[in-house]
Amino acid sequence: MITALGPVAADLGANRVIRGVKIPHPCGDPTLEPAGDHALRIGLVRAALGALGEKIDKATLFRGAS
Amino acid sequence: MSAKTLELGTFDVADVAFGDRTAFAGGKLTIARDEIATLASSDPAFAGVEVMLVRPHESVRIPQITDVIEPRAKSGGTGGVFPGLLSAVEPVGSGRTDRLRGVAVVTSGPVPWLGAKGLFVPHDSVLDMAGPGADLQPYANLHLVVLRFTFKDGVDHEGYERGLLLAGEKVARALALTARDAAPSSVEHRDLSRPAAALPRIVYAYQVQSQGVFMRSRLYGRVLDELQPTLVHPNELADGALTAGGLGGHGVKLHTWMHQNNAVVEHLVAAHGKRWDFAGIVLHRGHFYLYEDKQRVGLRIAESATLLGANGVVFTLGGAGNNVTEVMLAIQECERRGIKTVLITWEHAGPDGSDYPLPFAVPEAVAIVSTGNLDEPLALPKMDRVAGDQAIRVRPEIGGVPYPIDTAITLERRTFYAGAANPIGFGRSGSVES
Amino acid sequence: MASLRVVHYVNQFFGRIGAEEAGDHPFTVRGGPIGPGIGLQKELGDAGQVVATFICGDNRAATDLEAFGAAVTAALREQRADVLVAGPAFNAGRYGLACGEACARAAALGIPAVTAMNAENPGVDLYRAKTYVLPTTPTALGMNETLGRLARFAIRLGRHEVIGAAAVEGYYGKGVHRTAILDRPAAERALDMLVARMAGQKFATELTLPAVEHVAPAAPLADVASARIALITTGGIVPKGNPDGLKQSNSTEWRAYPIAGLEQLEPGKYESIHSGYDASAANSNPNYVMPLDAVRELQHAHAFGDLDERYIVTTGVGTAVVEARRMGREIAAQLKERGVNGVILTAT
Repeated sequence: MITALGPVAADLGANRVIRGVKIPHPCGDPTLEPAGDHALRIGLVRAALGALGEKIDKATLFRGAS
Repeated sequence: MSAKTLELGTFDVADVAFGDRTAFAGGKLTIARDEIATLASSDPAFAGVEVMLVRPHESVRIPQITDVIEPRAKSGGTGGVFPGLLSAVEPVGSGRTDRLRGVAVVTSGPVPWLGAKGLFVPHDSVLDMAGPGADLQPYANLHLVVLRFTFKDGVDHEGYERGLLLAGEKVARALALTARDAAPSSVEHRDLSRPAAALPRIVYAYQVQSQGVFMRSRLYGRVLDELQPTLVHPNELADGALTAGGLGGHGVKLHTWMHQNNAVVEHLVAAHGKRWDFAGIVLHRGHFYLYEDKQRVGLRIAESATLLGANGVVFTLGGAGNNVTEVMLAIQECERRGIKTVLITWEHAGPDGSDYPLPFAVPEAVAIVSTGNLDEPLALPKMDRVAGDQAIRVRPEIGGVPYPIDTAITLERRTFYAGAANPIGFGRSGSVES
Repeated sequence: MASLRVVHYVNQFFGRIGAEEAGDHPFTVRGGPIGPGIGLQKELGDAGQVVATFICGDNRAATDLEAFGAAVTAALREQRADVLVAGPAFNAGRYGLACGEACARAAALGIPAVTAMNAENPGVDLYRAKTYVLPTTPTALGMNETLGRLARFAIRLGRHEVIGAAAVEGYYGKGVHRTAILDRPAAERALDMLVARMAGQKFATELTLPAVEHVAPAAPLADVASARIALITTGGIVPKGNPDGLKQSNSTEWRAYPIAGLEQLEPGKYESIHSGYDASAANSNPNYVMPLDAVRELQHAHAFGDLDERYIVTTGVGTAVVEARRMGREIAAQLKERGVNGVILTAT
């Protein structure tokens, strides 16, 4: 899951959680230049794919947005 | 707390009727209909206004309420009511304030949607003054002066919002001014200075909602979308320092009346110096979009409570949804510091009451007062009269559909019913397990 | 008023047949009260008469509750019972199950029933929604007091009196909440609660959050580079005009929209109908919520195998957990059929 409310999601049962940007735009940042915003989105999806391939034994918050 | 004392003069209103002059005498408020209509509708946002009177417990359904305001005016001390809006930005909450008790001004009407959807749409609500809905809202005992507006084309939502806000406040103040020569029913001396006895200190963490033009709150006239927790003296609320706004409103909306007559504040004031020491209000907003911002708010509330020497903090909610997170994080931090907390909240327990009731919780939230399940359907009988449009608008996400209300209705959820969430704990609603 | 015909269920021990060794004793009917039934009769007084006692070995009952329940049903019919009292079972687990099952069968026949057991007894959670379960002490030390409560409850049930809320009447609630008008305003209740807490006194919260269900994490994908990925969002992103009328909140439905051949969600062709967040960013660029542009780019770079050619959407504001759970199961079943190995879900 990619969400801005990472800790909330992890608490409530989502196991692989990527920290998104903000609630209305978890996968992007309209304040950045298009190139920066796009790179951010690529980073988040990469992190999500990585999380799918990682073994975990409980709900884990992966840092996605830098 | 500091010596900011307020004399609150209460003028009980036993009857409200239309008459030749707008005046108050012998407990009766007469309203010159055309005069009040002109005062209310002068803003260019309005095409017109209908002024209607509703009696307490009358079989009336009132749709599309934006705000409810108690008539108040200052008659001594600095500032005027609704500072920053009707009055200059000067300190309020001391001196003498007059209020008409038993009557309230209601602003209502079909605010144009202008293609709005989602979060940002003027939500239509209903409110019944009789029947099973009467106990679910705070105004059933009041005479209501309902201002039902029609709106001009070519105005934007900001324009409608400003028009409604100022119209309601102007009429509320004008009605209160009629009492200036009358003798009050009672005068209350509100002195919240630190009591001599060592009593437990209570702080009230008061959450409001302010996110754009549809859900807006103001403090001294300033929109609170960027509010970081701040301290407010309870007497400031009496003079309309904190106002509701926005357009339309759900069952969770805080009206200006609720700010003026906040049940938590009223109870805290009433027993100040006897059961507790009411140490102050931390005003804050929720719904921040960044998780860290929610954490920041939680910390500021806990830090403010600590600085005020709180032994306990009462929490209420402004709006529904992820704003619960700010409050829960504040509760967590307070409890970790040994400050006891209690939260007043409604539940989202699904239509049959069995679902997980809150969007978020922390283990430290051990003391919760529930005002009932907002997801429960609400069957309302036909009322004798509808004070407004015969249908409200629902389903903005498909462009809007009329929902007739001049008949018996069953609301799918109580969110459509004004006041249903009982957010400030004015009402006796609660939850029973069955 | 006529004396109620009360039937009492007990296990082999309280039925004076034997102890653990008699655990397989078959279902038996005896006339009149036996064992604690005598105490029950005393508490019932003239209001009720224990006309029969049903006895069954704990093992026998618990290992085949179906057969046990059938025997109870048949026997209840014969006895023309007005009300069934089972136990009390205290901490005895198998006894608790049998008591609960007996009461559930009575309820199914339209015969009011009540049992009693300790909070730790597994019978409580299994049967609290099906019948009235009164709390007890852990051991039979509380027998006399419990029989009194059982008798009074049974009389009210037998007379078809209305039973009120769990907290007031003293039974394990069904876990279902109903809105009601209480005796005092919520603000007053809250301040009283806070005062009690500050004084270190006992208090009763009005809302206890149920335990959150945690699911064991799925095994990781062995090879992400060859996985089939699907995209889901609870952010309410739909084709512009919301052609299927997806609800803006309190969702009970989900939809799948095609993305075959799309390199992104084109701004202007999609919108957010979610009523819980500011949709302006999402409306100006739907990829902020449903990041198809980035997913496609990574697909072309072989970061994963292939993409299910639909994205799935619902709105996640005010949506009941029970509905979310159902939708999740439906979606998961469909995705599994479509050979999907991994999902990226975005939430607002």
